Amino acid sequence: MRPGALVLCLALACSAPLEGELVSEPVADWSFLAGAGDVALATASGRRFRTVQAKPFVHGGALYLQVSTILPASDAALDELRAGAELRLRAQGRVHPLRAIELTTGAEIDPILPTLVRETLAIEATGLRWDPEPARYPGTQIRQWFFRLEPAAG
Amino acid sequence: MRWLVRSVLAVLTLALLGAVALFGGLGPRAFVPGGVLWGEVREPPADWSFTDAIGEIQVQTHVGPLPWSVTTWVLSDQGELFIAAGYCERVWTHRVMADPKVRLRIDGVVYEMLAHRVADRAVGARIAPVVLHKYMGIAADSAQFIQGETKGCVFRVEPRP
Repeated sequence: MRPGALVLCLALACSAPLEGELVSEPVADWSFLAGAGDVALATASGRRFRTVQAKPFVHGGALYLQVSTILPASDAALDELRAGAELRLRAQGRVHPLRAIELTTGAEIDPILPTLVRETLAIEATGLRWDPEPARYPGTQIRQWFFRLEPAAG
Repeated sequence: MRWLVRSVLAVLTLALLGAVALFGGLGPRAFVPGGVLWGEVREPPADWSFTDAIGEIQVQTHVGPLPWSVTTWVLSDQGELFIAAGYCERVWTHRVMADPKVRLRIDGVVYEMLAHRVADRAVGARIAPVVLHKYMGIAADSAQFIQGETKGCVFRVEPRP
């Protein structure tokens, strides 16, 4: 890409699919991700998460994604993901096509919370329960979405 | 040559207006720091639990002679007041550690206080569950910051003598 086009592209926040060796076989254990260094995420169309933080983390060998923001604005990549778009994750130069299954209930979210708070907040905790609207703290929570990431079909 | 002088004057004027806006009381907005916190100054209350319903407050410290204010999280436990930074390597956290005199603006009211960084593990065990519940929507039976791994810091806020 020519430098002028690259600058224009960055200025316009254009999208481009993640580059790297495409991995077709499913990953049985994602634990390697913790030491994988730079991990990049984009939807299949190449859209990046721009106004939200997207943090993949591994729990019991399975891959999860926490997306969060303190801003009221929407994020196009998050909207695509929630609408069923495939996700691409690049780690160690390899690109994994994934589908994201949104977790919305306590039964789905509670089991991953110990790993989430340890990995993202450096907090060790017990008895964790998803309580998105606590009566004691009305309206002070950041906006969050949780996904389990599985191999893309086909 | 005249255009060059005009351009320089325009840039200087904009810089001056920006500095006046920043340090003169425009106030912090989201991630953008500000200057003087204006508002009615009141004596601090004995019980800060009313801040449970308040997500963010403004904290004013100073950089050299200039006021420097930011938006941050506020936590209360057993009526005591704490402020927190997700990342401790900030201008304002270093300034507060150097000079504990702060002004807090909560719901438009300014309180002149002292803030001291908390290193006590017992206080950490009180504050970590508040952080999880208030900001993450996660209730916990017990929680503690992992020593040597947490990047954030917490300050206990007390009245000035």
